[in-house]
Amino acid sequence: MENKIAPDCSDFLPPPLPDLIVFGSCRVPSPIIMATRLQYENNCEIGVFSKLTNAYCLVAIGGSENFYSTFEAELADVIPVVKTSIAGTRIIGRLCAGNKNGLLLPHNTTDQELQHLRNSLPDSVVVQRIDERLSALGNCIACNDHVALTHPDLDRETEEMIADVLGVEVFRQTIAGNILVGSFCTFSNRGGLVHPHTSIEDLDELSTLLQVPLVAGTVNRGSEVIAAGLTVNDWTAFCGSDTTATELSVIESVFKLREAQPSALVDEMRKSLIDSYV
Amino acid sequence: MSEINEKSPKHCAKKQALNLHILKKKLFFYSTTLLLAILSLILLVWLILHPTKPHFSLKQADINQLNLTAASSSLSSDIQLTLLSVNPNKKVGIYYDEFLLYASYNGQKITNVTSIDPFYQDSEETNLVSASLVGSEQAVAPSLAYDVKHDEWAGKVALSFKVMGRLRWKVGTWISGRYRFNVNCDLLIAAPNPRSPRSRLLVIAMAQDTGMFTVPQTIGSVLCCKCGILMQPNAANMCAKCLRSEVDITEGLQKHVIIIHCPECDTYLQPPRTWIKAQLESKELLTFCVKRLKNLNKVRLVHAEFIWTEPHSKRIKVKLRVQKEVLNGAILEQAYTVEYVVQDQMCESCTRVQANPDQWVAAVQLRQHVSHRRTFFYLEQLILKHDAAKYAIRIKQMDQGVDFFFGNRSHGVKFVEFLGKVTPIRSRNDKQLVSHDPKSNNYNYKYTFSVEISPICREDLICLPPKVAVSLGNFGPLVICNKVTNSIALLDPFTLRQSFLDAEQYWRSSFKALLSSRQLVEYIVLDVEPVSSEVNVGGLKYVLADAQVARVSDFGKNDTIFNVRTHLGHILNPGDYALGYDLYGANSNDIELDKYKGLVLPDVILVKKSYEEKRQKRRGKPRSWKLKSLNMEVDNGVRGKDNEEKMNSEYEQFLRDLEENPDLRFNLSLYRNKEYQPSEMASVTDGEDVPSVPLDELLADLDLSDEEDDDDDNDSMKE
Repeated sequence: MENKIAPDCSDFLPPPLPDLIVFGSCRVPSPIIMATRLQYENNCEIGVFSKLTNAYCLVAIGGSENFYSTFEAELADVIPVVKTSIAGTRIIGRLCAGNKNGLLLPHNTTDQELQHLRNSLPDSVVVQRIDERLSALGNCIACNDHVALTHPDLDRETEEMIADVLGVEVFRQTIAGNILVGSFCTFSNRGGLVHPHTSIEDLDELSTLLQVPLVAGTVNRGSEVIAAGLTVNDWTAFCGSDTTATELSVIESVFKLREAQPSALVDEMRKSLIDSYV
Repeated sequence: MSEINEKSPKHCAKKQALNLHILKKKLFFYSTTLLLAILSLILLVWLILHPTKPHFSLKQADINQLNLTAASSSLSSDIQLTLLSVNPNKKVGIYYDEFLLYASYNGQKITNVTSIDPFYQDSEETNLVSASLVGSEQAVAPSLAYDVKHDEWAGKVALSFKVMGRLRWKVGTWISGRYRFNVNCDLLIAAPNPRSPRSRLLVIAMAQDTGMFTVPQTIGSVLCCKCGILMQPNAANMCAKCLRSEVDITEGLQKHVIIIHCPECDTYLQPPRTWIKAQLESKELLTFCVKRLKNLNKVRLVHAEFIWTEPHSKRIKVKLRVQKEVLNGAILEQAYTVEYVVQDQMCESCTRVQANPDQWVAAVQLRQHVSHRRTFFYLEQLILKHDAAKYAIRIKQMDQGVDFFFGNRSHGVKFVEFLGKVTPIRSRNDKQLVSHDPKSNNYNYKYTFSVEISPICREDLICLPPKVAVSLGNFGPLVICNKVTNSIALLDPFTLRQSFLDAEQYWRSSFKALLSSRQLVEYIVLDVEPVSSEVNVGGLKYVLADAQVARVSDFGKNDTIFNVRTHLGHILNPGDYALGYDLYGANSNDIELDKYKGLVLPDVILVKKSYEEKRQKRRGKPRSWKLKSLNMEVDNGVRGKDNEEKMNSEYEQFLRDLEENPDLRFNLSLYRNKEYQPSEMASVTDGEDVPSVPLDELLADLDLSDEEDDDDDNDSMKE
């Protein structure tokens, strides 16, 4: 599974290392960050309240600044972190779908929000509001920068819109019998995590479609709603604070977060050096 | 001037024209009226009948088969359908002449047309119409396969059923012409749930038949979210070990239970008071043990077994396996052991058996100062019926009474209370100090209850003391006691007046009987002449009559004939035998009698009819019924055999009384005698026979098995 074709991610250089990682309010110096555990107002389903792509990060407006500042600390140097609401709600991660090329918003997004997002996001990102009956686009669409999996019941127009705005190839799929593909899987250009009940055959089929290695796994101490507990891009991941070390290690390895670190390069070199010496 | 009789021609013409116009008007008027009448009639008929269309509703639809063959684009289906047809009209019946049914899917007919036999539906009638719609290899559009798949994804299948036919209305005797009718019924069947095996079968069958490529599904493996071990995914996504460490489903379940065991009869107490007989390691004991656990309904018990323990350890160990749903629907199974501590405690019946009869605490001394024991026979049956003496540890027959011994004062008090409810008694109690512990201030007493039953019995002749007679409204003074319960019922045989004395009233004057039933003399009735019509006195019927009687002993010796007034006019006939008190020949020395000056005593007072003659024939034959008896100790000390014989004859007399008096046996339990064989003779004899107990009043006896025989006294008390 790990030997799948490596996606094209040369556009993205690993971000510079911040010195600190924020856990709640205490600041712990951390030499290497790969995946960050955090909470949104005592809720571990952080994928619901945030949307992370390679070009931008959306964060829900919350009572506490902690959530936002965690993202800020991690990403501020590289990509814009935008506080927003969608359709007046905080569950922005479940309502919108997007990648580095574009952002799709549900039909009930207000004009103000749309304008705010257009202003805040880079010009290269196309922000589009679509008329789709299923307004929880985040639950219905899972995508990276090249491929999108969608709910089988999405309109044909929506399908075309996804292809146009996000610049992806669209596949109507289910994951382990669940039609809400956006909820039960998360994938970046480097790897993906899917519902734990996905059969090996389905896993093969999906990774062939997506051209990234996939692993069945869990987040948040056994939760199978992957996308709700985890939000990921090509070099970093955020997951709910309930996530165990085991789950974290699975996430880090499948999303190849370790390789994204500069120290990984040194480690790799050192290993090969030692190898050649020994 | 002459009168002009002729009318002018102008006038004439005018009149003619007018005539024609009126005719037209009339015609118009009549036709309009007729039309209106017809219309109103129709309206009336419509209003009366108020016809409504018949209603149809779908009761049930089972899809037994729905197979799509992609290659030939044909569909085989088998649908069982039940329609509820309702005729809401109150006065209109419907003839269904033609009734055709078929199913369609996405506008395509998928089954053959099924015809239902013609039937008639009466007004306001409801009929169930069942049909099996079968379509074999029906050609369908190739796009249907896609629709089926799509519907599955959407989670619902939309079928529609169509009915068409012809019907005729029936109003009274008039039957209308045929009308066409059409019924459309759209049905949305809930998603073929992939979890339910049946619908999954259907889905797979459909998928295979549509020629779609299906991949065999291999269950993958994920890492346990806690320990990282490779495992099959489950609902909690945690390996069993981690799940067990996370949650303890046996939390809150009892693990130590105390059970109470009777070492004598090897039974276990099922609270509140049932004792269950069970061997060690038996199925019954396991059931009992599991039932004793509280909160076990919160989990699902899958297995239970004993772990062997030494019997003398007084511990029973049961290993239980329980299942419970934890964390997002994962079902966890866990085994745990429950330890039962067996505490020995004798059950009530064993306590009674084991009790030392000499170590009584309360004694009830029941006495009646009369020459016979009839009252005690009756009382014995009452006690048995009410199970009043079940706590008695010893019952002893005494001269003129019975002693009951109890292990507890309250049992004695309760028994005395019971006696007070069934007999007129007076009682007093005393206590004797047995031991005394001044340090703990404990006193140990023996209690004695002395209970005296009034000496007035049924059929006694009483001369009431003047005070009592006056207080009862110049009643008597010569009266017969005809019933004794907790009060005494007195009947004046000359006036048929009845009066009651309760225990308190009686004991205030405490008179004695003038003559009692042992002094009854047999008379033969020569003539009876009713004086009054039938009178109902306290539920019993009496007729006042004048009778000519003669003593049986005088019969053939002298011609002494007595003319008496009696209350038994309803049962006495000339030639009958009757029992009565011979006041003519009696020497009474009653004080009360002497108080009445100028009281004329009748020669005879008849008390009851005698069946002695008829009983002669039946002597020695067993009765069809029997009574139970208390387990009484009999002290046959001094007057051994004599006493016993007297007792037996009194008992026989008591049994006869029961037969003759339905009123008397009303409160008692009579049991069927198994040894009794009804003779054919009895059924042939007609006319008046000896009164006997009808079979339906008898109870079937409970036959206890042999093993109960050893604890005999216990057993008889339980009954």
